[in-house]
Amino acid sequence: MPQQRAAGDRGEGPDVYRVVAPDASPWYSAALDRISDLTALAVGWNGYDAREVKADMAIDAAAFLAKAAFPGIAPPSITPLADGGVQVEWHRGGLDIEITFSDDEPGVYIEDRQGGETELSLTEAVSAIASYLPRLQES
Amino acid sequence: MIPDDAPVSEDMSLYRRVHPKEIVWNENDRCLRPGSGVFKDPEMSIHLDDVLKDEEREPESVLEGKPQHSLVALTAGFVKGEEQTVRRTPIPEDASHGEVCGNKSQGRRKRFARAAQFVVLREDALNPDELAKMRAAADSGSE
Repeated sequence: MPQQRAAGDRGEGPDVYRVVAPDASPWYSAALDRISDLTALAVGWNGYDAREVKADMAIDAAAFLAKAAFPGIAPPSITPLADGGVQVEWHRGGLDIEITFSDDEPGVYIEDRQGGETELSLTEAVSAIASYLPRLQES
Repeated sequence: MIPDDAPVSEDMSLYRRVHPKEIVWNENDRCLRPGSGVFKDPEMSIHLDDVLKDEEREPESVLEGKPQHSLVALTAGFVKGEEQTVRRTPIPEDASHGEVCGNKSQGRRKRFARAAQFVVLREDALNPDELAKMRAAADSGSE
């Protein structure tokens, strides 16, 4: 996926990365902006000792969304992690799905309120989203 | 002054700051929640309520100088029930500082997020995307 590095817009703090990709869903472009924004968070952003969000984690999250932005799927929530990772989440349709991009503990966690808990590897993330797509549709 | 080795009662509130980008709309429960990532650190910083009271401080005082952060509370009894220990680890700038220590699996972090109660929620600082979801849910509920 192509990426451009914004230059000269910060005197200090982390580098700012902007990930660019074709629109795949109405919310996809905004999601990329959100991920890019996360890379601008400075050390200690969580009020404690959080690390900067790592560019490769942001790129991995953006690449995942490029594949998971199926037509009609609701926009996910995208949160930074204190270890420098990024988490993509859906909480709807009786599902809590969390895709964690992190050096420490990458993976997929699914809690189905009609079933139970499932943990998968990141390589299974897109297929997991596809399998739950009817319940993740935007209402 | 409360000694560092004083016991931590089950009903004591433990406070943690939450950055606005860590707060998400949960459509299942139709409420804003701290993301589970807030609770990922095996040695998670918190602030102990009994020390704050001893210093005649309100819980909100741990947000001083952090105008965008919100504040959530968990009880010591809850975190102990999740196989965590609570340590008093005061730091020079905050005597109420402590840590919730222990392994925090994704499922456990999810339970932390569900149990956490907002003490201060600064909606004006939240991610517009999450606010939009909240407002859309409110609109659909009023139709």
